[in-house]
Amino acid sequence: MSNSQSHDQRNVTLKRTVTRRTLGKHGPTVSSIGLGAMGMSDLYSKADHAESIATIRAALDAGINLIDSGDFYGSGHSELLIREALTGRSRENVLLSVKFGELRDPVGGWGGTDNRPAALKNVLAQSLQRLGTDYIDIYRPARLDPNVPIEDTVGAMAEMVKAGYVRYIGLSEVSARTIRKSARHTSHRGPADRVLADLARHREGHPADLARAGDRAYRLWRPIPRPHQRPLEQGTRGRW
Amino acid sequence: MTSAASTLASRVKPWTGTCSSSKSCAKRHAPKGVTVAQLAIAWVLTKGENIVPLIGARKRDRLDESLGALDIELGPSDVEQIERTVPSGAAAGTRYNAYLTGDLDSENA
Repeated sequence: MSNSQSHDQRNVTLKRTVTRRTLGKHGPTVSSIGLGAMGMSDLYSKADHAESIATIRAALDAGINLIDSGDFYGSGHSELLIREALTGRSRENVLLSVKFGELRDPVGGWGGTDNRPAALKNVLAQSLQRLGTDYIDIYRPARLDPNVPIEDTVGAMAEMVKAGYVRYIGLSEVSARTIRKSARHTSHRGPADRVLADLARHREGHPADLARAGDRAYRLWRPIPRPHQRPLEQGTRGRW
Repeated sequence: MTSAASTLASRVKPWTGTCSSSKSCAKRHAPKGVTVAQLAIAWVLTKGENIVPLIGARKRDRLDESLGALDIELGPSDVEQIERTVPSGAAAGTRYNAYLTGDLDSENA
């Protein structure tokens, strides 16, 4: 902002320039702000459908090109919503980031994590159908599955990159150790297989340090925390 | 740092007492004309070129508000002032309840 534009005049001298940032050394170039789609489908109070569609389109019009979703956001609702919003738009101008692995039930309850290779290929196929696209830009497990070695999960994702269904492998809510293990496992592959780590932490810590130092890691950060999590009944575990 | 940013820093009110949440804390101290959301997003944008804040706007007016963060240029003294105003750990509560925190690899490994 130039010196002639005072702070108080900000409301009438809006630049609102959405610049670009590169995720990791070899990752995609995305808008400096991304649109998180969870609240349009899940966990918040019910969203207005038409307003949700209009908001996604307005975000794209404003220069936002990164839309963050999960196949478990409203058990597919989010992906169908995004598909509708993108109708008539150019697919290559949008980066779709989709999380997988969280299990839901018909009443919205939570049933743990399944990051087995066969499971991720199954839900990836379903996500592609719902989104009406033949590839997902950034695909990542929402949580580490304690029962599946991360090497197995990223190995299956790397297969999907090679097959063209996924452009970039991501991770979410993982430790520095898991990032290193994943990176080691994919480092012999091409740049498109490199692991991008989404570190949605709110505190400084070792994954953040790794993200700064590494050529693979980046952080997607939710600036405004949800209101303090109320105690949840067992079987209705809330997460995002 | 631009003059606008230095103006902003001078308008972040000093932090005193305790807040029940990070939101109430920030709201009390956000400069006039800048919303808490805008300040939070602007702050995140300063934390590294490899960081991309995700905004959970569900309505166009909220999206517009969030995009307003792009007009806020925070200089080093602004960031310092904000972090002094709402220091790490100032907010009450945890990200998740104990049960949910228990299976977070990022928190436990």
